[in-house]
Amino acid sequence: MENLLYIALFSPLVGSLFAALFAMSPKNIITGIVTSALLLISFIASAILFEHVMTVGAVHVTMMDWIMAGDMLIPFGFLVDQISVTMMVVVTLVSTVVHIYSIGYMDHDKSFNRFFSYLSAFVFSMMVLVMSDNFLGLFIGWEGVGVCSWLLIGFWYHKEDVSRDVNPSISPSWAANEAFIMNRIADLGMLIGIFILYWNTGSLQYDVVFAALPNLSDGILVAAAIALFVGAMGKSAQFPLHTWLTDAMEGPTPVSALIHAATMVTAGVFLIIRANPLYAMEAVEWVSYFIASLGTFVAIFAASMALVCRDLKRIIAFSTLSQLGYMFAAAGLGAYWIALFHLAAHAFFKALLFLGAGNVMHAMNDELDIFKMGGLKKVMRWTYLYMGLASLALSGIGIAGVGLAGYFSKDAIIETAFNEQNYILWIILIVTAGMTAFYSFRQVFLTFHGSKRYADTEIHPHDMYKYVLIAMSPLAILAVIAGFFKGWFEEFVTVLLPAYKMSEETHHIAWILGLVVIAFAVGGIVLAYIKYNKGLKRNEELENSLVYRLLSNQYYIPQLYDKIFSKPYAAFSRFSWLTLDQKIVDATVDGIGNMIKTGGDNTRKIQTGNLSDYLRWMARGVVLLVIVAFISHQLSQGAN
Amino acid sequence: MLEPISVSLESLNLITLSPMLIAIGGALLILLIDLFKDNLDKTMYVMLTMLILFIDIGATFSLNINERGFFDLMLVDGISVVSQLIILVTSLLFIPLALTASNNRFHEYSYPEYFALFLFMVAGLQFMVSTDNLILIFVGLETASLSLYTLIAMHNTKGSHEAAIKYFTMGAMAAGFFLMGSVVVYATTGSVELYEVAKILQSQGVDGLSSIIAPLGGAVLMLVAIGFKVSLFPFHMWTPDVYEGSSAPMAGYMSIVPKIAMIVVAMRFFGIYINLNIEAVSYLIIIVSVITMTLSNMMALVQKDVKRMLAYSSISHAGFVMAALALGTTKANSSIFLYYGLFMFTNLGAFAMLWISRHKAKRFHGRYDHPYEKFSGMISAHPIAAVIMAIFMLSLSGIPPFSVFWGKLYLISSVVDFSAATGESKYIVLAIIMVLNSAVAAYYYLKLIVYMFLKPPVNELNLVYTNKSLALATVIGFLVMATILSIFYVQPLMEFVTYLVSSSGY
Amino acid sequence: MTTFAFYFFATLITLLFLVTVLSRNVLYAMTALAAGMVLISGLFFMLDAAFLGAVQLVVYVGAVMALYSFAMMFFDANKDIKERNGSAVTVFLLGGAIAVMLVVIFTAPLIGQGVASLYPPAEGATNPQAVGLVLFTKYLVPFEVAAVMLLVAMISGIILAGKKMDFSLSVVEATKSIDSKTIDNMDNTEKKGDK
Repeated sequence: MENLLYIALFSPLVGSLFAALFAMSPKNIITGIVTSALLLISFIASAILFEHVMTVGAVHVTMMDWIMAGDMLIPFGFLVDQISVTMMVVVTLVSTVVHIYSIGYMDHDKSFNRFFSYLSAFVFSMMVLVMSDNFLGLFIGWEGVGVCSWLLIGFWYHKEDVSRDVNPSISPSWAANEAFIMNRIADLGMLIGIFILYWNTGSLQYDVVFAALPNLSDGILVAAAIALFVGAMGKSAQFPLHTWLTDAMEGPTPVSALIHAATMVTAGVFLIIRANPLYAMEAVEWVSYFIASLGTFVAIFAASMALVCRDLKRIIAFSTLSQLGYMFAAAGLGAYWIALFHLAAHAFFKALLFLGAGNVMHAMNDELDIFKMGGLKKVMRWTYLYMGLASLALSGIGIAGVGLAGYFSKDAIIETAFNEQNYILWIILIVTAGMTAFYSFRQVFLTFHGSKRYADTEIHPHDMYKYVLIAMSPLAILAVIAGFFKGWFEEFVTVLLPAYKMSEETHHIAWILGLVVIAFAVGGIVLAYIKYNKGLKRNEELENSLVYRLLSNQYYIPQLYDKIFSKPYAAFSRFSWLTLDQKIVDATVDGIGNMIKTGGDNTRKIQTGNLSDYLRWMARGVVLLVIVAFISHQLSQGAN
Repeated sequence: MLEPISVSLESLNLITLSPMLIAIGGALLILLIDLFKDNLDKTMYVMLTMLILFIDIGATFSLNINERGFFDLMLVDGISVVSQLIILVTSLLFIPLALTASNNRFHEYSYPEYFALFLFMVAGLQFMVSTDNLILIFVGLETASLSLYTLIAMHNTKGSHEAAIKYFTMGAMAAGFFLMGSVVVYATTGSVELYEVAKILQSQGVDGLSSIIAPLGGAVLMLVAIGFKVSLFPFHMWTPDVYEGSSAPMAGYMSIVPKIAMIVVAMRFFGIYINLNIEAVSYLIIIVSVITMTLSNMMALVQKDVKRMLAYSSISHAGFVMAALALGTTKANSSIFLYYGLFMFTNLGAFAMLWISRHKAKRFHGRYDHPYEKFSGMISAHPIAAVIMAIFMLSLSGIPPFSVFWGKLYLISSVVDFSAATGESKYIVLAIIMVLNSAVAAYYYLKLIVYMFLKPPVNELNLVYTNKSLALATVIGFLVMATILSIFYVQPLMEFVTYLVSSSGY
Repeated sequence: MTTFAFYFFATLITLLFLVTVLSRNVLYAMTALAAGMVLISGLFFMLDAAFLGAVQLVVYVGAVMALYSFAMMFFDANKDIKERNGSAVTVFLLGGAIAVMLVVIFTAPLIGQGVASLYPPAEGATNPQAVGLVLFTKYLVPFEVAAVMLLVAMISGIILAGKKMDFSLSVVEATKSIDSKTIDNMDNTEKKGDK
């Protein structure tokens, strides 16, 4: 099993290095094929490990002792248990599909090989993140995915900066930097959390740390829980660190599908699930409650922005944000396995949705404005089918135990909120479900139904290559059937995660609750159908209303950040540079430097280059040493 | 008539001589080949020398630790094995640097004798470290030194002749002090074998002033000789001039190999004093080493030539290491070897980088081969070379995770540990001085990086790697990898060194 | 008698070596050195170290001094040498201090206690035999290494004085830039040099 583990972990790395060899050379289809094949291998290995974990149990290996300094011992080990193996299977499966997809999508890009190198490197980092058996390894993977995400968002770094009015995310390199910096801020919190745990438990191994938790004081537990959650907030783009995720859509679409929907952004949720013994502690109850509340808030907050958004990819990004909010709500309420289940189900249909969006972009010459599309269902039959399915899954359509993936996972979260008698959260989540259905189908109808609004341009849309569409099919199938594995999945992961059971009453009225959710979801779809099926009718009045403008400008938060943080920070940096640094710090440092330098100049006079001088210095040295020796002898004798 | 003396061959334990005999035999073989067959390609001699060094390493590895041989004259203990390994590995990395681009060979490498002398030198150094008899140490030292003077002079430039003469003259004086010190030791104890000396001093006692004068005087005289080879203040004067005059790889080699051999001698000799608790000797060494590292750092700051800067930097590193020698703990002694083992890759690499850019004409400066200006704007012309050089510089300044950082880490932590163990706060001061010196040192290493990365090229005279060849690139590549990947092998290396050092009681 | 002889020799040796150091004329210095060496052998003879006395005569007077003389023949030995001595006071003080220091260090063990040799000479051996016994048993290795050292010195001398050192492959004139022509030239000279 150990070998399988290493195969699963290192095949992406091998692929990445292989592709990196060709990074400078022109497009070579081999790199795409090799990396995809290696990922397939990694997926198969993960799947076998899954089966192994299910029948036998977790696999834990220690690769090497990594840091040994004094009392500090950090073995570098990997742990494949129910949680990580679920993540591994999801990650490798989506990655494989995305890799194959990218062969078609990046067809015409001249940096084809570089792309695959980055993409595989990302998968490797993600695998390290999920498989590590300690917080440090997790952190390394965490940073690794951060770097890869930075590289991939900024993949088209040569694009010029434009003003925010033209493109809300300014340019790929700007977006990449924004994502990276925001994550760095959050990572600081995460590091602090890791330090707190290390100082107080003396280890970074999950099992050791969690075993030591009951001995810690409440204050420390709360501090660690908050600090770790700050890290999770950054990676999973929770409010107020959420702006980077929508801007990250500047990256190539497969990247959005893989990193910014299915895998990396869920790392925050993964962290909370991984650290569930910490968050389940009595002392940190209110932190967990805060997580749930924040998640719920983000769910509706992001959904509201998606309602009016015109950018195809940004709509999906907002919906990702919203769904992450759902996951945090579940995790915060203690239903960790439901959060994990939603994470997996969401990965399938959201990746599918993004890849479908990629197809549309490909067909529409990178046009993203859904107001300029329409009527694509005839020419892009398969994509229409896929996106429709994914949207249905996202909306959570289904009834009486039969439905798409989202129906099972999202309903369970809403039901949890009810079960916790947290009716405010419950209502918000239900409303959000309705909004989700509305914006998903607004997008579908605007894109695929109605008149061809692009008719007056030179665009001749066509569907993607056949192999790409076939490659997407596993995701589509999973988006449909994943929900049926719910009971079985629960049994599988609750070996490790706390079992969360609905109370008797909730169980009794579950069908009513489900009905309410469905009502909202169907309502949303119907509304979207009425409004957009026939085509786009723009309503000037509505579009100029305050609420609409507020929503379409993302509540002016990016502008606000610009004003509160970026501009003053730039001004402060200028001040530091010109006044503090150049006039004070530099002058001081220069002063010290000059002093030493003058000393050096003076000592240099000894070094005349004359041999007799040197010999004389040796003689001086002998005399000096003798004197010093006897003085220090007398001194040390005197001291004794 | 005297009784004939019969000695059984087994009691001689001749295997202890095998590493040196291999080197000497190899040298003679090279001389003989040259005698019978003229005009052989020099590459052949390089390969032959490397082969001999390989066999030598094998022989060193096969030695049993803590054995004596040849009337107890030879001593194979942990520090002798580990220092021989450092010497041989450095030699192995040094010799292929002779293979500069085939249209651009340098003078010394046109002599087969160069390689013979080189092997004689290695043999001499090996003798130095694998005995505790002062006479044999002296003879080995002189053999090595004589070869080294010649090897320097064979570069055959004005500077190299000057360097050889200076080194030779000052070396003669240092040898005089070594002998004087040995004589004092002999006069005091009646023996030149250090283990006997230790026993006798122990039984004589060193309490009164009259009984301490001679041992202390002997220690000072020895320190002069050792300080000369290791280049401690104020006996370091030769170093920058000699490094400047000799070829770059030779300078890099000199900053490691003769020093480590002499440090082993110092460890054996001063170890006696430290075990006898003669604190004056420890203080003496610490004072000298502190002055050495501080002054040479200051001098390095104002140098205009990279090679001279590296010369001063190597003096400062030597001062750094000597400070640990005064402690005499196992950890301190092990970290000295670890330090040199790691420093070796980086320093030899830095000098090798100078070597591949060495022009036969002094194109950039009237006097210097490698002024800072030569490297300005290197990042645009030779990005990979600039990055490699920068890695070496970062490593030398002790920035993690590069190799020298680990050396510094263990060295300073051994000082701190010692302070904790003895409860003497002055050793903490020593540790702080060491750290401060590292900080100052970073300035001049970074200066080169600033030149390479931030300054525009000075003139049309492009820096051209005239000497670049596959052999040089391979060696440099290996050195870079060893420098970067040190994080992965430093732990086992430290364990190995500690095992060897502690097994023979140091 | 021996006491008188010792002081006699000692005074003379000191005087002669002072001449060696202080004289500006090389010939005087050398002659004084040779004479001093002869007198040192006298000290050895007094100590019954006949073999060492003889070696002292043969090696220092016979070989080393002869070599010096030959070397001096290449120069104008009658000319005074101009030394750049810097401050004479410093030199005097330094020399004096070191001399005093050495005297103190060397006499200290004598005042302290008598020292016995660890390896006394074998019974009934004459002086040359005793030297031989030690040299060819215990000190065989240093003896052989000394031989290697001499070999090294010989090779060094031959090389450094050799014709091939007259031109250098390590430098080209600073004014010329390196072009293919100079490289060709260098190749030719290298080939010539090898012959």
